[in-house]
Amino acid sequence: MKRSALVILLLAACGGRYKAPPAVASVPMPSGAQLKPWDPEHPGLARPMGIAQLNGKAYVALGNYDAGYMPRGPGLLASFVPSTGQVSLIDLGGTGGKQCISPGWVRTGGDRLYVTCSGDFNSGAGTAIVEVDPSGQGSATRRFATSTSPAGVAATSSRIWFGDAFKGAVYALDRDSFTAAGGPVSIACPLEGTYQTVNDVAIVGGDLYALCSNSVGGVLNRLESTTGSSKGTVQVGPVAAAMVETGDGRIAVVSGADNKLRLVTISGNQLSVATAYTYGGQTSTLQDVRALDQFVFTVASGTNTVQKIDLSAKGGAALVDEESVGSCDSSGVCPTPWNILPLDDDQALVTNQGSSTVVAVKWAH
Amino acid sequence: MEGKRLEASPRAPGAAATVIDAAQFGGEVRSVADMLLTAPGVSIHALGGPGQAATLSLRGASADQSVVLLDGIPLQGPGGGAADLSTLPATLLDRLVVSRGVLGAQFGAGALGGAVEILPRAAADKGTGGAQISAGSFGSLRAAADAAFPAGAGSGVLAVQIDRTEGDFDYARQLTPELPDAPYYGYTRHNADARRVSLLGRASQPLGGAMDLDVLAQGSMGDRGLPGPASAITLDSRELDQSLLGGLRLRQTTGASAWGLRVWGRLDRIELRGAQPFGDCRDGTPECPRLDQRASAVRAEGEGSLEVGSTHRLAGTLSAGEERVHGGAIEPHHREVLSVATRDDVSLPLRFSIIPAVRADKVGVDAGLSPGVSAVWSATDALDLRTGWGLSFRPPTLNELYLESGGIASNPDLRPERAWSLDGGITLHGAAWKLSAGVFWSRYRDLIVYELYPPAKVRPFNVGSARIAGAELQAIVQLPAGLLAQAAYSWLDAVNLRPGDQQGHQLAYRAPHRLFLRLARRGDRLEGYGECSYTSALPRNAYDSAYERSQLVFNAGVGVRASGPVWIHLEVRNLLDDQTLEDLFQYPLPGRSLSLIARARL
Repeated sequence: MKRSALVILLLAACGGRYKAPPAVASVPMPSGAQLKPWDPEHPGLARPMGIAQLNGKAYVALGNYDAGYMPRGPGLLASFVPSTGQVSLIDLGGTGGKQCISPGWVRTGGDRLYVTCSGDFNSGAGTAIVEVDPSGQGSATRRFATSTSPAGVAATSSRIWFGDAFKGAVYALDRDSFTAAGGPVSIACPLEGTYQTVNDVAIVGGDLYALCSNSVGGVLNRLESTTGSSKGTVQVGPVAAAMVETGDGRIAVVSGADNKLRLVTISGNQLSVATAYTYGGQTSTLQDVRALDQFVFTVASGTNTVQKIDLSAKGGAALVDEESVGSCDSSGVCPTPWNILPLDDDQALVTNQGSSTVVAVKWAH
Repeated sequence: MEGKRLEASPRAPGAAATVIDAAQFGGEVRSVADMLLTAPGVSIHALGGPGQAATLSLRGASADQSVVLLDGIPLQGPGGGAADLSTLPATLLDRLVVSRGVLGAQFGAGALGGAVEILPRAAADKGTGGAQISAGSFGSLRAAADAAFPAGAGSGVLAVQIDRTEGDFDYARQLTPELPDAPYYGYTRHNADARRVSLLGRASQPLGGAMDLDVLAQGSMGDRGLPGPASAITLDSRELDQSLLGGLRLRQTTGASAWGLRVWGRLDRIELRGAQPFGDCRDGTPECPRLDQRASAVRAEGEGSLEVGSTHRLAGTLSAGEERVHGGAIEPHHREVLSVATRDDVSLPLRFSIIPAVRADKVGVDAGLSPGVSAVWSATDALDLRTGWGLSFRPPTLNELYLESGGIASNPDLRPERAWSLDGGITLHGAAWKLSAGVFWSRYRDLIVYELYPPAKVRPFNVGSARIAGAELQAIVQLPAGLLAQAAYSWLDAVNLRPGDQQGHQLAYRAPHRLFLRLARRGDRLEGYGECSYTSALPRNAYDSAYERSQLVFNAGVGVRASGPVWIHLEVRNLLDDQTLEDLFQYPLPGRSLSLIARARL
């Protein structure tokens, strides 16, 4: 793995772009007894959600619930090398398999992975932040039972931050002791609307950024990453589902309600926002955004599509490609993509929550 | 000279209205939704092709705010939601009256966009009857028959309609719609089959002393697949429904007064199989329970009218009853319904009429007044002017208050939606033509909107607010050679007033322009029609940033009298075979379809 990192560095130093080995076209997620169902008679289905890459491996948070979205087993983390597609599972469930239910986000922090467990929406059980050591076969090393359903996770050298799915607040864990270190820290949210939810958190330029939105507005908060004190806000559109730092240091935000990709520019203490791209009428339910080099990659789960947008295009951000991650099959299973992970400028992995697969997208442009 | 009335509903004589005669569609495979599209101010939200659910919107109001009455009896889905027009048998109907505006004073709480009165075939005192059978594309079959006959001293009518379709039409979609000139790929719709049987019985019996007893019974039973939107098809979801409606009315007209007593009841049941909030599931498995919802309503009504002098006709109604819902995902709930209404038709000099009306409704814990007034001036024999104002409310449905199902949360604290509107119009008419034009302005508040209820449910809240203005034009011209030309145009300017980022944007799913043109010929040996329906691009979200593209559909048909009363018709719908059409929620619509129809009228 160290060799891979060296290759990337050398390529970057020489001005070339890293090219990942070709990824396996479609990697089916495990099923049946492999998902460790609480009741062997009623196994769940693997629902790939968040995806992250560490040391050349892809890590995919797997929901584990049945067709009626009832959790049937512990939260799991699938890992595989994209070029081989050989999947192994890391059990996040802890004692009794119910300490982590319905994992959603997975993000890297140094040599560790951090996973949010949204919990059983009916009982509220199984909400947690889980730390995973990917070495060897991988294992859940520490687990913090949260008092709320966590939404988004981001790590600094001393803190693990996560948002609150039920209100406009973020929380901090001390990364050394894995105990509560702060929060709830209230953040700015839309003043109107019937609910407030944190959609995502990220560390950019040493600061913590947290998205809070609802159906009538969205606010990006800039916070001091140790204490959570506010350093500014900017309006970023309704149902601001996800954000990412772009290659040029801006923050890209996708808003599912108004079908827009916005770019937030950080200039000293000021944040400013501009619409970079407006999706067409047929594209729906923008769900995720990731970035690599001058590109951002987005997911529209309602239309089973992913997009590649060039931020450096002449005249402003421009769509350079769109790919379908598949259609509904003959048995009625539809892909319903969730997250995207660019492997290089020409290929990406996409988690298909509906069809229990992770597919590779090869960009034509 | 006394005031003169426009062609309108007897319940709302001063309202903007369109009367649709079902007989003009003889020899055509029409649904109730198809018929209503010939009127201005009407939009239909159809979830796919034939046999699939279709709801109505009047003047941009939601389906829940547009009342549908069958012979005066309000139709609703179980739980109080919008009536599904696809469950109504088109061949069993005599005419439809579309009244537009905030008409709570005339039709009761809930009529914020207006009302559609569906009048079934009337009993006849001589033997008549007819039959129609059709077969067409996508495995569609329809058989219908009706007979009217003397019964004792009175008369009766019995009618039946049977429909079935495989619904397996081809459609085309772009897999990568963001790319310019992205190719379309062909698909075939599955799990869109539908079967339905509808029955109607009606009888009228004189009791002596100018008193009559009317009996109405209507039932419908259906089974259909729920295929889902094109991007998330559901091959295992099905819906079974049954509805039964019955009413008895005693009425007497003596000189200047009339009175009536009526009782009616309605039973509705819907069972969903293999359905869940996010997709489908395998029916019969433990994680896929069937959802069985039942609703009932009973009502007793008294009505009376009295001419007072030569200038007033007073009318009043008193109604009391109950509605219930239970089963599946909803606990048993019921609520009492009570209303009192009065109206005065005042005929003034210079052919001027004014019609004030007020109605008080109490629906469960929600109560309110719905006042309204309209004025009509028949300036000449060829020119009528009218204006109207109305204020009313829509109480939340039992489903909105109490339904807890999968991804839906209830909200028992909901308040009624409220609206008022002002409109005006002009009608010019001659012996063989009629032109009408109208404008309206309406304001809605406390609209019930389903919002995300974190982390993963939706819940209704009173957070919507809107202003909807518009214009409606209609022309009907009788031409030589038995030709009849019709045109209907609707313009809507529906603006979202909800505070926040949505404020000032267009309301989603309201097409600013809709145009319907039709030229039809009726005759002894040869009949035919051609029609065109245009719907402009409409916003698919609340931010004017995503649009469903405009739609243009041509239909045509021709019929010849084969022998005696027997006619053979050929009908083509979606003549241009546009297989890319979708409804508001990305449900594909059928391409070109052919139907061969045989009918006889005695």
